Amino acid sequence: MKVPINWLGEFIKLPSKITLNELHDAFISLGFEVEGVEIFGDVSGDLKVGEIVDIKTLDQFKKPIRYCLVKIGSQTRGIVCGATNFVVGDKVVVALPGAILPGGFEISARKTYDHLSDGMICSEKELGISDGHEGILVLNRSVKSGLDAKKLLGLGEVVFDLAVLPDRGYALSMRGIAREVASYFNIEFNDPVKQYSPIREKPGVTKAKISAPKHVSTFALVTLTDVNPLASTPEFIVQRLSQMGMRAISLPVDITNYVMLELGQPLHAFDRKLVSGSIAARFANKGEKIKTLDGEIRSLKDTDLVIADQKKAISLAGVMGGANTEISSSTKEIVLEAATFDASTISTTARRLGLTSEASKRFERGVDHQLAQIAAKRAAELLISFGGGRILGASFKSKPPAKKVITLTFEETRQVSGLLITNTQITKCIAKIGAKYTVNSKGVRVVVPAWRNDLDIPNDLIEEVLRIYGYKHIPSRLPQAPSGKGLTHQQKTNRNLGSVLASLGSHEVLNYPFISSADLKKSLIDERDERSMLVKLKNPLNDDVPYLRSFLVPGLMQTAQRNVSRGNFDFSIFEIGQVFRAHKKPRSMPQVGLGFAPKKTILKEIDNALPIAHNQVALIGIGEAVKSAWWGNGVKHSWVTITQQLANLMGQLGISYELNQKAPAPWHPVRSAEILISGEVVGHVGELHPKVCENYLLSQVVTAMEINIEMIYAACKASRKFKEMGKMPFALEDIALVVSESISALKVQDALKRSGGSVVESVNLFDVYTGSQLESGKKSLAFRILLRADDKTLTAEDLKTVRERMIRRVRDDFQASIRS
Amino acid sequence: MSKANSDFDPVQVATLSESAINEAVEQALSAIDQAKSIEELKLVKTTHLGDRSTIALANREIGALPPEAKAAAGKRVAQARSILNTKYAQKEETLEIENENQILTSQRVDLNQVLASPDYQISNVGSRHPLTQISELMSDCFIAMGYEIVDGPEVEAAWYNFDALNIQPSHPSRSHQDTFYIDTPDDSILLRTQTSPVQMRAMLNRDLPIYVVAPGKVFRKDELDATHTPVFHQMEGLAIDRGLSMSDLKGTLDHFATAMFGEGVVTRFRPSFFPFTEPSAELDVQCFICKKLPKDDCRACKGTGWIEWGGCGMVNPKVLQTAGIDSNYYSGFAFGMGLERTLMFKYAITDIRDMVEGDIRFSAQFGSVLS
Repeated sequence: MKVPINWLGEFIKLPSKITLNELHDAFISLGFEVEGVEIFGDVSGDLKVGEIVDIKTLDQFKKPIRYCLVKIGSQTRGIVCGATNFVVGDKVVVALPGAILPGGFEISARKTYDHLSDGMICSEKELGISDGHEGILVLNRSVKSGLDAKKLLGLGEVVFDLAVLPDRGYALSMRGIAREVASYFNIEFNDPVKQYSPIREKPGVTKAKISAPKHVSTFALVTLTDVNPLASTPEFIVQRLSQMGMRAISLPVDITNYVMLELGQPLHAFDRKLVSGSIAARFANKGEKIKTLDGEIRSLKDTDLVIADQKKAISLAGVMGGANTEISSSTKEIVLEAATFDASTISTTARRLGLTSEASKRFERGVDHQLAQIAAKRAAELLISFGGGRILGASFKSKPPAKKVITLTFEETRQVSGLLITNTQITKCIAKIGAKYTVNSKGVRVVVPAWRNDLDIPNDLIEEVLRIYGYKHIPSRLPQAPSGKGLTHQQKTNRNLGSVLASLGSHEVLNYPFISSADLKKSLIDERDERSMLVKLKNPLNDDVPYLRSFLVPGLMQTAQRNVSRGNFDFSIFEIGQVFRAHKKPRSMPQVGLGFAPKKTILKEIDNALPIAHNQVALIGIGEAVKSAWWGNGVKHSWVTITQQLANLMGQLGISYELNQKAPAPWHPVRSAEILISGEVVGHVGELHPKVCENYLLSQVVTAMEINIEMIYAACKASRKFKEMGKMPFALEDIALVVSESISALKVQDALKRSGGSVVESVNLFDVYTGSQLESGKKSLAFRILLRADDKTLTAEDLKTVRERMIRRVRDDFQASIRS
Repeated sequence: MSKANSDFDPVQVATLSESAINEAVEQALSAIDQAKSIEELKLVKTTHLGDRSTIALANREIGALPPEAKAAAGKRVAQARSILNTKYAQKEETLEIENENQILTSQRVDLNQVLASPDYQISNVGSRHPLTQISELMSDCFIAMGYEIVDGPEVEAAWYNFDALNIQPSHPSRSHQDTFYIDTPDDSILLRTQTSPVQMRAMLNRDLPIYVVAPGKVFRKDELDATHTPVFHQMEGLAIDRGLSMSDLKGTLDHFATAMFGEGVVTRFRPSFFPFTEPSAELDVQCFICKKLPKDDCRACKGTGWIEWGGCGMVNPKVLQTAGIDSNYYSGFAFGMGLERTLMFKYAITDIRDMVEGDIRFSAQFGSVLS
């Protein structure tokens, strides 16, 4: 909302020494964010109104150039001008030599196009008052030549650009802002509404009718006749509209806009010749259409309010007028309309049609129902004084809402606001918002002003007290919360997961949860897989990705691809985030009331109706895990590195798990496994299917694991058992075995460990060999065994016994032979 | 070699003469001195201290001396051996040190060579996303004040996200332009647009008093650009207790701002509007980048001198009622701020896209030790 400070001067007398900074602080303190402070037409030097008395076209140049004689008061100057949108007799703004236009552009008398140009004829853009490219600013012909154009156009005046909060409709007017500023500086406010009189019923002409009484509380029509259709808008109105970012259109339209900006009441002017009979405010009929002033044809719903004559809709109520009754240059009879519409009805229509206007902005936030009558009269009077004519009649229907009364106690005001404030100060604040009130020892009984439909409950008034008294006076006091229990086990686990994965060399990323059905295809997921039960968005940002992810790998693949395309080749990334799955049968959401706590069963029903969601963690690796470089060979990401990352993760979290080599998509059919905790599948690990990598434009091995976090919480809570570390000397034994290739190395390792007994501290596979030195179908597994007894040094005899025991076991269990 | 005899025969045992021994010692010392390596020194030892050396021979001759001469000769020889042994040991040590030094010197490497391949790693260091880290940093600050962390579903019921928070059915934020809805006939399920529904869940499920914060992911239908992302993060705070006021809210946020941005940070409240709080306020932090003299080119505050950090206020009594909390006895405050924003002005990040694209060069900069 643009606020020309000069205009405010009509309603308040600002302290004479006030600075821009003080005004700025006032607006901030009152709750109006200052989005900008502009000097409207930041010019200096002499700018005068001039009359064009002669135009000579110079046609020897590439572009049209005109040499004009301009009469400024008693002087006449010759000025060269490139624009052609003015004729002899027009009044224009002339910047005289020495004047400085916005951007530091200094005007001087100089010779150009073979003529001395003694000044400049200005456009709005050159004056810095609009971005229009429509040539020279042509003034109303009634303006006297020689006048100070700066004063006339309000050049150099300060305009604040304020953000008005959505609950403060009243502040979208000079009246509203002036009252606020008055309260801040403790100065008198002359309410224009008290100076202007309301329109009185004058029957016999176009009648007003309310057909939607719950949604239209007041409806005023004023009919004027004999208005001069060619009358132009006075400069002060043009200038103020311009300062507020609006363009002048025609006298009737400019006046309705002017009154709206002044008082906050949107108005509309109809060409009465095009209206049939009485005018009603009603809901649109089903299938009804209207062409709005912007030329669009709007299909209406029966929830949209319209203004209609006896035959047709003539305006989309509170939003935009209809083209069928538009004011034209031949309009002599005018019907002015001012009404009060229900805020949410207007907002719903405006939003549905994607059509916001100055009017809808105000109605959505609420308009003072007392204004319609006053604004209609004010507009009619302005129209008559600048366009001639007379009031033919007026019709007014009203069913004002009941007066709202709020009882506010001094005690609760102090309690909620935290302010150290006296009863008298509280009452003063209430007075300043313009409310009528009565005081007793306990508090104030406040009659809510008609323009403050945002005030409903005592807390609303407490905010007003705070605002008027000043938020800056709120003392800072730190309350003592009871001791908390810190993070929950789940929260700690989530943090630990992240820390451990980062310590394993992986970088955390946070992907969008949006995926497409193509992601399922790329990941080779078929429709029997429960990950294909995607949750669909009704209104995705991008129609290509209308679903929510059911697993994390697709997002990681895209991010991996992006990294590769940016020159990051070797890395591991991970994500911890929610994944979603639709119910097999859609569940309905219960209806829940307000103002009381819903029953637990209802809350449960709500949660059950939501899609299935849980936290998952996934990690992928690509390229080299250990880089090859001048120090030697590296290690590529492979089933080995990913399984080791999993092992380390589980080890750090203290979780026992097993791998079951099985191959669901998108993993590699024979290089992946299910991760099992207590027999339950909690996730998968391994290399991804080469096709999947290819589908995501990754031409190399990608490793991945994905785990349902909810399923590991319990496992990592199981308390760890501390194992004494042996202190006696150790012994090392290597055993190389030849077994059939199908034998699991883990099983052999386990058999060695178990058969070796308590003296076996660790068994590690350190070499695997298959090849020409072995029978085909056989492999050699070499284990290094570290042995240590709890209570003695192991003798050669002891070691021999253990070794034989182990060898016997693997011979029996796996038909293993010792490789020598 | 002469046998022991009764007659002293100085000629026969010339090797024992003082001058002969002295000369042998001199020669040996000089040879030790000149030895350049352990090997040479060992050769010197064989020559000058070995079985066939003058000193060794002299020693053997002592037995042949008459008893009265034995003592003096013995002493002389012993002295000579002692001198030579000491000298030898010293030289041996020196050479060993030299030798070790030489070996060490030959092991010289260039540690800076490692820094010449900064991106080539043997042991990779990962990172946690700075948004996760700042979320934890913020959470920890409240945990220290006694708050607990709560969370809720990202796909949420419209009732929790809007209705229960006093957001009217016609409120613009509910439109399909602003909010992502799940494909249901009644628009009853959506991607939460704020962390505030967690407030309502906490109030409905926890015992009073309540002091909680809820960090989490939220969604709004904004196209991704330098300052907007459809998926971002917020942290919501809620306190419900007896007698809480705007001044408790101010105190809490002042304390929090100090913890996040350091001692001396200045905050301010401005009137604002949120359906779920009344009174409501905007929380600004004085720009710590350009501080006292607001500069138009300051990226953080755009020349205003203040950075908008979050919204807050007293929980609207209507919301308390829907949570089944008697607003005559209990009051509460709530606040919320964006994590991306916080991170952006704490680290002068200008493009929000860096946070969402998952480029590992971004997270890697922050490592795992944000503070």
